[in-house]
Amino acid sequence: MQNILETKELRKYYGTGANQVRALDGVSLSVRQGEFVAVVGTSGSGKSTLLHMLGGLDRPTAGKVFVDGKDIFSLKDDALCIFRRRKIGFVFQSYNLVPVLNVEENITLPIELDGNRIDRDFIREIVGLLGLEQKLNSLPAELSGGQQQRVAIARALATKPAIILADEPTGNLDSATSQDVLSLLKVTGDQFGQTIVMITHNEEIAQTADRIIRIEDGRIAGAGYKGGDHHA
Amino acid sequence: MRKVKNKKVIRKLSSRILSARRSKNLIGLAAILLTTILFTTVFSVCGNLLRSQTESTFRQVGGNAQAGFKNFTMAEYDQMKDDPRIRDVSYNIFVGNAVNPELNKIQTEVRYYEPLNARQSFAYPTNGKLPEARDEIAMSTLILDALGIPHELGQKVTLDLNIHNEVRTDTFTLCGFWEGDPVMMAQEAAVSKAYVDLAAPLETTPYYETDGTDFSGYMNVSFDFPTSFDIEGQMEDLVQRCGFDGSLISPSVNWAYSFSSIDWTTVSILAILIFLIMLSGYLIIYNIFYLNIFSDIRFYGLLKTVGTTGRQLKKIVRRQAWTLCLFGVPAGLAAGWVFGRLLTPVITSMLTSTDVYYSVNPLIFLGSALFTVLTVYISCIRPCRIAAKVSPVEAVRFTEKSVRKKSRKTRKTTPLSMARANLGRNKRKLVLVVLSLSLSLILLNSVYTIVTGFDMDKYLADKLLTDFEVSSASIYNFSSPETDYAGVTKDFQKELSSQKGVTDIGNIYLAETVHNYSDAEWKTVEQIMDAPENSEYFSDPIMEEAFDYVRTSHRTNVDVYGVNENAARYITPEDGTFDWEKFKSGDYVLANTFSLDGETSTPFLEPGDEVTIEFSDTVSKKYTVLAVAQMPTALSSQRYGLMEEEFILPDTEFLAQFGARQPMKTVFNAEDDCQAEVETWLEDYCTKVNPDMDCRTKADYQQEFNNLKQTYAVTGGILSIILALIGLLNFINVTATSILSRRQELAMMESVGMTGTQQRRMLQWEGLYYALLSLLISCTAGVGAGYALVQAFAGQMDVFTWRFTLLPVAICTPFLIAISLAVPAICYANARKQSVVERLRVTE
Repeated sequence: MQNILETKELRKYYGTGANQVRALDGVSLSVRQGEFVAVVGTSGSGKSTLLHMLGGLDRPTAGKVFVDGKDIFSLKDDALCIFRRRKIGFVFQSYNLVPVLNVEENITLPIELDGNRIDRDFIREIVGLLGLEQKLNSLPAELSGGQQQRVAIARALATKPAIILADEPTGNLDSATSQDVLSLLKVTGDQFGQTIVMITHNEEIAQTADRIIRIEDGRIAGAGYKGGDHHA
Repeated sequence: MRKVKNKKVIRKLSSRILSARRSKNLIGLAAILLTTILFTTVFSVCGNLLRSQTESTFRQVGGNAQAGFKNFTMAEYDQMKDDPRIRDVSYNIFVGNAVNPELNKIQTEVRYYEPLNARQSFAYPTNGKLPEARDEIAMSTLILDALGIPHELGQKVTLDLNIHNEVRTDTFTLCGFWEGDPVMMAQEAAVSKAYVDLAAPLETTPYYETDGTDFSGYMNVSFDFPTSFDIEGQMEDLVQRCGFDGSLISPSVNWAYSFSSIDWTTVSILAILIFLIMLSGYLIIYNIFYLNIFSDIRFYGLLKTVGTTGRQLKKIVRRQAWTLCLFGVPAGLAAGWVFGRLLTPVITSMLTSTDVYYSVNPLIFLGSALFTVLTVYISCIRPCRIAAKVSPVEAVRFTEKSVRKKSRKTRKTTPLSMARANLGRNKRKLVLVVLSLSLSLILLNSVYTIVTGFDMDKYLADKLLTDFEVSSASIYNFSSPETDYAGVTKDFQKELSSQKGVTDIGNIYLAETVHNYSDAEWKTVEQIMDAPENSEYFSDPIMEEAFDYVRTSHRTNVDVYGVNENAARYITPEDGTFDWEKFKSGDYVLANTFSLDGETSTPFLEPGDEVTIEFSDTVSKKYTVLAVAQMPTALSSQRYGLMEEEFILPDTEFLAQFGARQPMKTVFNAEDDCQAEVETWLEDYCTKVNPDMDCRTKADYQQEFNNLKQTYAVTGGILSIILALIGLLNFINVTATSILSRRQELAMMESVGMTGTQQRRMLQWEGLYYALLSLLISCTAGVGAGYALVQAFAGQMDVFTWRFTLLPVAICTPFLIAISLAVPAICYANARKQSVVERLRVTE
């Protein structure tokens, strides 16, 4: 199967000299289409930096990121942003919904920013899947944490992106809600054939993924498919 | 309650918070600095103006001592000179007035001065010294100029002195002089004590026992009190302490020190300015602290969780404010004083013509500091309360938003619609910014309306209808003992007619005569006198006797004008037609109306009525009323008679009946290219050839008119600039802080695919909304408010005509729009300096 996401010797250094922090120090990995990958590591291991690089939110010190075969850092800021909203959906730990927009507007925001027509059926499908039908007109402040995260997932899915990048999506949720959100993420990923890269520090949650990549001190420390099927 | 020693930790916390966010402090510091600068500038300009005014009053009064006694004897002087509550006691002795013929236009007083008194009276020689020998004299250069003596020490000066009502001529040697000040009421000359002893030795009889006409040989004493506060009261106390009879002696208080000279317009303008500055300072400082509290709200929540009380949190916030003041206020005071110093000459030259003096009165700084601190205090009240009320649980999940509105309908999302939604987030800010922006636009528009609404023609209507007018100087000088109503000499008329470029020479003659009312006339007059709307005028107790005489005798004094054809042109008939050809036949007369307020008017006679005018006891003639017309104010005698009745005759008939006489007033125009020459000639004639005559030129009034306009333009302009500044600062502040506080949100939107361009456009739309709303308000409600404002300030003035205009708003529109687009773009570009990831991380 084709690699939808690939990094080559990705490095990100902060500071110089003795103060230099190597957040990423030569990470090469590839993710195949439809895969659900969990990236685990202690805090400060560089996992968030990796995710930001994958999504083109930050530029690396060295190395390349290919999405769908395209070197994303060859793009200029605005072009990168447009590429991102078409190919990548983000889910953050802190939901990051726009407070002045209601649930439906938040979900369709990336589509409208692109100036595209909204695929109403698709949106309805997502909304149904995530159980948000009753909340479409609510503002984020009226929702619980789990509901907000479901809206964030819906937003990430709305543009039918090839990849969903999730940064500790369950970090702010209790364990029951976490399981709930996680299974939704997985179900939608399967349903729409999306690739999911999820950061977590929770082993239990990581176990739901197809593959686990461990990051330590900015390097890949180990990777494994469930059931011990190793892969470099 | 137990006292807990926690000051130290509070202090530590607040200073740590401050040093933790340097860049935000800079904004706060800048706001406090700006507020202080504005206050200090206004206060120091006021202080400087007040001092300039006081100094110029000193010059008019002729002294800067706070108080004094006039016409004292040595015995009286000894009685008070050692009073412990007064200081700087000094005296001068009046000798007499110099009455040389060359000095007939300046009052010249000759005195002996003690050196201190000479200084206090601005009579201290700047060249040479005060006289010591009997034949020495020092004087103002203006006297020297009048006498034609060069400004050189050693010159011989001969003065005719009126001492004890006898003229004595003495020749002195000039031993000193000083620059004479034309503003002073009298010019001074100083002689020696020896001369006083010889010519006007000190009197010993108290002045109140004399007939009060002769000042020679009496002392004038001046002194200061410890403070300039309530000088009148201090003076009364002094009179009592020294055992004087207050009803006999003449105490005098220098009115330069009395605050009654402060007019209310100035005070209200100052009050408005102070209010505006406080408001602007409040808006900015409040905003900054408010936002700081919100961005640190988790921190305050944390403090509360660990046991900090609300009061302590309040103190922590307040301490931060005071720390900023500690740096901001002194710097602002210094900068503001410099600004004030630079601004004062500009404002003075535009408002008055007095010389500029600078004041370093500590009150200026005290007041500015006080007002700034007050503003900061008020600005902190709410932020303090918010910090104090922080709930530790909520604070942890708090993000700034005031939209608590229930669900809303889904709409299409574009940068524009998002901008609109964002505006609704903080309505308070929206209202404040829009209000201050539109207020400044409205004010600017009103100022423009007022200034352009001043109508030169209306202004001149009562003053001057022609380019020039000439009459006896006594007509213009209200204090002249006798008014000459026939002062335009033959000689002048001859020269005038030979002057090149002079056109439209109009002559107005005036005579007063007794008019006996016919029975028909009396009916009208009686109606006028009994009309209820005139009752106040005719029941004036002072005039009662005169009106009674009119009622019993049916006669009164009337003014009769004679006009030539050129002067007649300015007369507009109210009733009937005024035909010069018919009029000049000599059988017709113009009669006027009785009008008190200019609204209700009753004609004394109707066109076609017959009226007999008596020119003397024996000569009278019957005329037909050609038309009802009033002499234009500018051409009239501007004196008021009992019945305000007047008749106008053609000049030929007037002169034939009253006998030859000179015109009261001559008016004329000049061709455009001769204006300057005619003016020079005329002014020269009235000062050198015949000083008894005086003139008025259109240029004089033009100047006066421009001054009036400028006063409004300057004060209004400054006010609107300050308001505009406040509006803009608020706008910049609101935009900058909203972008700053939404940094994370913006980053998040970028991460879901809103490009920088789209975000910038959204922010610019937000800015544009502010501008457009302000413009909208200015053009709708603002028109009404502006109209009210204009009417309040200029509506009563005769010279003002209201015309609708929105030109200033139109001119400001592109600038406002440009700023509203530029500010968000710049702020956003600044915020974008950090990468998306960094911004996203802010709260983590």
